[in-house]
Amino acid sequence: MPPAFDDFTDAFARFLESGRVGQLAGYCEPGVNTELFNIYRNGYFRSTIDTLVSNYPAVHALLGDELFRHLSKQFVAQFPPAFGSLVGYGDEFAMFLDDADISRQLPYLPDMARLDRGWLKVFFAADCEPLTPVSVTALINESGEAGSQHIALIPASTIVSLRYQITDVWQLLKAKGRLDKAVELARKPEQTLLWRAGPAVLIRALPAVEFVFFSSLNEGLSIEEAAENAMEENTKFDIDSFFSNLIAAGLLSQSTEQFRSVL
Amino acid sequence: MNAVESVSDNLLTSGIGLKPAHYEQALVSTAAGLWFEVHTENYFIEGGQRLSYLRQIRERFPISMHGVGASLGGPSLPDRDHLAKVRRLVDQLQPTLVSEHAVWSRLGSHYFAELLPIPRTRDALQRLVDGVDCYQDAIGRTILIENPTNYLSFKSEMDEVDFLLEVCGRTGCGFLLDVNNLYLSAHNCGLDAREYIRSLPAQLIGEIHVAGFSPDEKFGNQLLIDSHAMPVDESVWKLLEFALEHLGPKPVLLERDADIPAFNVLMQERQIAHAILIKQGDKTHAACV
Repeated sequence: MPPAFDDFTDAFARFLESGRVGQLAGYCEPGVNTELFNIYRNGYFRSTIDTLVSNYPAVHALLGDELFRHLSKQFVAQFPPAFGSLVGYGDEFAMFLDDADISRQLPYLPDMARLDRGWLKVFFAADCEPLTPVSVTALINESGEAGSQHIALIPASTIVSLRYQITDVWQLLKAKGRLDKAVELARKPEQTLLWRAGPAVLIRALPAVEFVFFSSLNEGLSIEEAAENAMEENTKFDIDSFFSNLIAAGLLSQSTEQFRSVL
Repeated sequence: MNAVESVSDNLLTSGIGLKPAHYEQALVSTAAGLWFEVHTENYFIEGGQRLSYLRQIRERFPISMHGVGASLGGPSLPDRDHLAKVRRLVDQLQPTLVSEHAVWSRLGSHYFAELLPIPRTRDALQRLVDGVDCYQDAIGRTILIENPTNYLSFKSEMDEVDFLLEVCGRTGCGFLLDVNNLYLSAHNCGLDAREYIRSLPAQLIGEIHVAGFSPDEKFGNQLLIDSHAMPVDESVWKLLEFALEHLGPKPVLLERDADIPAFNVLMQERQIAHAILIKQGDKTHAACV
């Protein structure tokens, strides 16, 4: 009687999770060395952990390869891939690091993961023609004024909320793969914007007033309403020059539900 | 002439697997007959540089889409979201060939990111047939399925060739013969590679893969692993020659997925495949004359 296929795949999945061959041995020809099943288990962990190395370069640089892979193996066991592609795998990595013992010694580690994640999200996000001075003028001509326009950040952008001011250090780690000297990190929240400009992903820690402005836009408010909120934060906020800078940076697009949902 | 033959005819040369590190050089390459293969799931993204390069390369070269994550032979049908993403890429890129593996990799919502083996039973055959049917229906065209690398022998009711040919017969899909996988299956499990090739109907073969293997860390040369991390071994090139003699000229793809060398090094290795194809083409021509 041939083995039932569902029993076989169940037994195989249990082996991949636990490393214990168990009933799986019964599906082999007599005399087969069941140690060979480890080829598949090793392959599973290698491909998932290699993906995490690639997706979390700053965390990897900070921890070193051995420790990173050790932690990643625990992560894969806890949060296995759910979709048949590893692109973007590891969404829960920062959350996992929040609870990991290592974060007692390196409490800014989850924030590093958040920035790595933000970079990846922006790198693979949808393309979109950003607003230009010409297209803004056309919009104004269509509707009479710019202030009432609903404008959003481009899809290839994200704002990452950090508990530590680590944006500069993250940039160093990302660029060089190491830190040349000890750095002091302030335990002070930071809001950081990442966005794609041409092929490059750019990053900038946001002053509070800009964060208020962007958050308002992301909530679907008009430019006028976002500017009012920003001026409550800082009465000297110069919306005209700020808006021009955003256009020059290619950060704004005409708002649609689809674009807002990316942020 | 069947569907597999007619599309493959547009690609009767040698190609290489496309890697992000090679995008710039690939784009400006003037090598005659060059084509590229991409791993389908690596392009399950919304936009950015990676997709942009692929679109530009597609404007200049034929491409083949090779899936690694659909779990065609799994306990449940391929995931609908997964198939929708493949369909979107197929529509955008219009690849010359689309292929997948005769393996499984998903159970429920758990993706194992590995090409897992199927025991060759009637039950498993039906799952693979259903998976291929589902994939082909979703993308609106036929695919090729690739023979797996075997590391250990399962209790089975059929030989691998009969198993895969029956899937082809029942679904209309073609066969992607991975010569390296076949060499390793022969080495690891005692299968007769040349007999296997002799059993294949030439008209079903839409593409051939070659790649490098590595000895297992523990068992050494007794157990060879399909690593794609080394140049193609001489014995695999010889098996390719034998395959082309039996099957006639077919598109040959050089795979390299780890320890990736410079583009020009890979292109030099591709020349070996190219030379074998040209030699085989000359023989076929001479035979016709």
